[in-house]
Amino acid sequence: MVDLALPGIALFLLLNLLAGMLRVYRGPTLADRMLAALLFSTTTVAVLLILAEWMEQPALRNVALLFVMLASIISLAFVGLPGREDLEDGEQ
Amino acid sequence: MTPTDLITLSLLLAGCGFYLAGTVGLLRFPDVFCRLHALTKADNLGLFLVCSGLAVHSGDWRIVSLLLLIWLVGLLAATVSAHLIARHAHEHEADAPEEENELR
Amino acid sequence: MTTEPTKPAAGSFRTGLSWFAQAFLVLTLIWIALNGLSGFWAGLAAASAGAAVGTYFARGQTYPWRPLKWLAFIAFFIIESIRGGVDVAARAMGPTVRIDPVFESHSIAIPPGLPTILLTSFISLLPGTLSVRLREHDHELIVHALTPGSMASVTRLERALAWMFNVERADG
Repeated sequence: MVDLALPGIALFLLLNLLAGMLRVYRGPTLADRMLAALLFSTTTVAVLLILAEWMEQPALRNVALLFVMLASIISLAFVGLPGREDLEDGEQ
Repeated sequence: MTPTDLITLSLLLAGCGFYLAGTVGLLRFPDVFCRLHALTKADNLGLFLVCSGLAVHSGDWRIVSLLLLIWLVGLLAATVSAHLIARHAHEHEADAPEEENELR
Repeated sequence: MTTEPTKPAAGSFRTGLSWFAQAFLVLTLIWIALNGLSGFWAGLAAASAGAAVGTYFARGQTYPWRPLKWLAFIAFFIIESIRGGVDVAARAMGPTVRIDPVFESHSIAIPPGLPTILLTSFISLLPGTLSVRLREHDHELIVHALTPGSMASVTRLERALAWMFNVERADG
């Protein structure tokens, strides 16, 4: 029963991601476009986990873990490496 | 349909609902800060529900602990990203406030 | 009873050792989560290497372990983040978007270091609040709130953190 629903759920999440991509197109600021990358990472993780269960491919779970780890690096790269004073204070 | 299946399906469907709400908020909310609210909170809850649904479905402690780890790292990534993007937007808002207000 | 967390005295051997031990334990648990008990010795080696590198480069203040309090805090946090998700989902899906966003400034009443970092990170998942930036050498947090009333989340989280770390809040 659950196995029948899994592909539908994965498809729904992918469509959801596609709708979110409208925000990349519209902007207006760079930060708005960055939000879509955030959406991309969280949604992809869920899709990968569901596919791992459905296709019985446990390796996909490790891919999901890698994706979620990359997500924070992407936003770090977006704002630039920490170099400013108050950031250094904040991270200590 | 077993009770376990029922729990799994309702958790997964609820998770989908929150992913949808996050996307709707991303498209509907007026500025980048409000959109961040929608994205971090709703999608994090969506991921939590999807992970718990799959955990209930598999029942294997290895998979459950991996799902827990993925959720925890996702949580960390979401909060760190939200803070970084919000700070970036806040810094750059002062440079071009008119542009941002006009194009909303 | 307030236990003062150990101060990060530069080069203090004991702080380094306790930091190492905590990092080692966390890394070992992650290894078991990822790999099970197979290759356990390689895991122990990897965890000690990771903890050693961490201790060398990024040693911070350590806090005593209080697993029961942590569990209670995790329960609090999960409930609050569910409330946060439900709250923002309801606002997004409603017929009209019911928000009245404001920037608010919150003066942080808990010690710098881990408590402040956790406050800054977790506040983004509580109902209606988003951490924007730290100011005044980490004593002031700019928060974006969906409604002016959402600021209550910050105080709630701060109180929970103060309770978990056994520290006094500056203004009670």
